[in-house]
Parts: sequence; C-alpha cells; structure tokens
Amino acid sequence: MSTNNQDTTEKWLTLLIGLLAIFAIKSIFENDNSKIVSVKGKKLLSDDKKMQDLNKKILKSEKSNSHNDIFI
Amino acid sequence: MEVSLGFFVLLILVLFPGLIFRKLYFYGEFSKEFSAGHNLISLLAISTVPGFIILILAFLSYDFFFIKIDLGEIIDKFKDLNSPDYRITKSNQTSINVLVNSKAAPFIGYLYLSSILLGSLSGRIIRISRLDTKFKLLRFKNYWFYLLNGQHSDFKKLKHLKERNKKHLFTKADVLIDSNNKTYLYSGIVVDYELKDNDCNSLSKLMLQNAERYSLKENKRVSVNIPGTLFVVDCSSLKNINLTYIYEDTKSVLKSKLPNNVEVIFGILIIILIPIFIFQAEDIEWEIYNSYFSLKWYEKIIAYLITIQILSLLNPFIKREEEYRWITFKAFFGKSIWLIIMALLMWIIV
Repeated sequence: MSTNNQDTTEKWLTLLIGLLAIFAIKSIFENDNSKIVSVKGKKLLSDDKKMQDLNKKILKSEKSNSHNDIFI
Repeated sequence: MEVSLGFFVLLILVLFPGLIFRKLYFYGEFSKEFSAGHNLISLLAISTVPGFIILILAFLSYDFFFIKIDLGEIIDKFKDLNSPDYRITKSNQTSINVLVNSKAAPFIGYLYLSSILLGSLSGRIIRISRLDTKFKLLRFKNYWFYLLNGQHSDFKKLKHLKERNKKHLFTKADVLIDSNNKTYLYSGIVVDYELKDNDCNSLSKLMLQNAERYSLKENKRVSVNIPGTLFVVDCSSLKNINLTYIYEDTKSVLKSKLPNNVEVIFGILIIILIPIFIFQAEDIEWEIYNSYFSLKWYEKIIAYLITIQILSLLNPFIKREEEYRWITFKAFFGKSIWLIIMALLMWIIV
C-alpha cells in the first residue's frame, strides 16, 4: 500500500517538476532581449502623433548640432 | 573512404551533439555565426569542444540521476569489437541489438536532448543576463546587433557612452550610399537588418521605417519623405552610417537598470547553485548537507526549488508586462504559499 502511495507521489512530483521546468524554459524564451526595436518602441512606431513629436525633437537636436541621444 | 568504429562513435557522441549545440546557441540575430567563415572540416573541429563538454555533463548527470554507467564494460566492449579475431555471433555475450536498444539508445537520446536544451537555453541566458556585453569571450560576432540596439555602451571600451536611467526604444540611422560615383543620403528608424551570408560583421541590407532621402535644392539640404511602409537600403556600397539612439527617459528606481541587475544576480545564483546541489564536497561534514545527498533525485530537486523560492522572496522587484514593479503583498504571499506547499511536499515524502 505504502509502495503504491510512493509511486503515485513520485508520478505527481515528476509531473510538477516537468511543468515547472516547462514554465522556466518558456520564461527564458519570452524574456529574450535580442531585438533592435523594443516592445515600447514598436508601440511608439505605430503611433503617428508621438512619432511627429519625436521627429520634431530629432530635427531640433540636428539643428542645434548637438547630435546627442534623444530622450522621450 | 574507410570509416572506423572509433570515428563513428566520435561522430554520434561528440560531433553531432556539438553541432546541434552550436546551431541552437547562435539563435535569431546570431544564426549566421554558426557557419560563417567555416568549411565542413572546421565546423566539425570547433564543434568538438562543446560536444565533449555536453558528453561529460550528460554522462555525469545520467549516471547520477538515472542509470549507473559501467565505463569498464564499455571499454571492454570496444576492445572486443576492435579485435580482428572477435566474432559477435560466436561470442556468448549479450547481443549487440540488445545492448544498443537497452543501454546505448536511452543514453544517446538523453545526450541529444541535453545538447538541444543546453544549446537553446545557454545562448538566451547569456543574452538575458547580458554577460556577452560584459565579457568579450562570450560576445557574439554580430557587432551590428550591439550597435543597432544601443547595447554597445555596456562594452568596457565604450563605457563612457553609457547613460544611467535610460531604456533603448529604437535607433535612427542616416545612411550614406555610394552608387555610380554619386552619393545618396537616406534616413529612418532601423526596424530590421540583414548581414552578409559569409561575413557576420558586414551589413547587407537595412530596413528603415519613416524613411527620408536628402537632396540638394538651391544649395540647401532638403529632406523628402519616401512613400511606402518600409524602405530597404542595399548596403553593398555603404560609405558611412550615423546612428542616433532614441531612449525612454527613466527616473525612478523601477525604470533604472537596478531591477534588471537584481534579476540577473538572482539568475546567476540559481545557475551557480545547480552544481552545488549535484556534486557532494567531501570536506563538508555538516549533518544537513550529508543527509541532503542521501535523498532521492526528486527530493533533491524539491530541496533545490525550495532554496530558489527562499531566494526569490528576497527579490523586491517583480516583472509584469515588460515593466518592473515593487513586489506587492499579494505576490509575496503567493510566493510564500508556494514555499509552504513545497516544504509540505518535502515533509510528506521524506
């Protein structure tokens, strides 16, 4: 009886550990930061109004000859 | 061409797992690094290093967690098979079919699964932890990737370009192209790029959004919008390129690098703990330490998970929808419940 219980526990634990491993692997794949445009950047690129503001900032930076990074 | 048994074994146990590891390690933006500048021989040669490492790791873990491997029996079998007088059918030993199906095949399957997992995860872990920007040894050859997403400022030589509390959004490029002795200047947001097939350091194409071209009108430089969604610039005659990084200004601790650094430290700690939980140090005489090593493999994994969960309770940050937040009472309570469940499980099974 106790051997049966132990077998069931082992099976459930293996399943639990397997699930945890899958979630851990999934999170590694989802947190990949190897993109040249960030998620927020993609949202910004599809927002015409914000992009117009950004273009103004870039033009202002170019005219002032500062050519620094742009912060928004 | 004569293929010896030794070479066949080397191919199955070292070269193929090494090749699989390399193919998966160089993922996404770095996929061209797998074969760029290598012929088949050099590709096989450089795959032996990861191949041997994976073989050793797979051997140790298979022997520790699953089935004990008798190296003496394997060596003896090889000696037998290499002997010209040995006849398999006339020997009284277990048949080759049985040996391959019951002993070799499960280990080879485990070895290939290990190389797939290690290959897919190690490259991504290095990128997530940004260890490649800290250590040149781990850096990918695709230098354009680091330049186009602003991570070059993490390099030791370019540290002076680094600005605190900023998050890269995208990069604007001004590209000067030389064509038929005429120069053309294009400008736009870089959304994608392509490298040359055999040289992962040379740009082949640049995809620009919101693209503009510059032309001279009455001796003045005037920008003209290029119609269309995406403008592809052929970089085969690229003269120079000027990059402007667009950042999101972040001022709070939550939007600084600190939460990411804390997460990286916790990630590294979790990885460092793995060998400590697998290999027993003979010099340590603590009762709790020795009793841990008498546990079954799944009990050891639960002990490891409990340790990770305790560590995670010390992390004050939580990541939701790409943004870090301070850990809420609810999240802390959830983590504690998980810890209690795992501790209870441990208590029940031990």
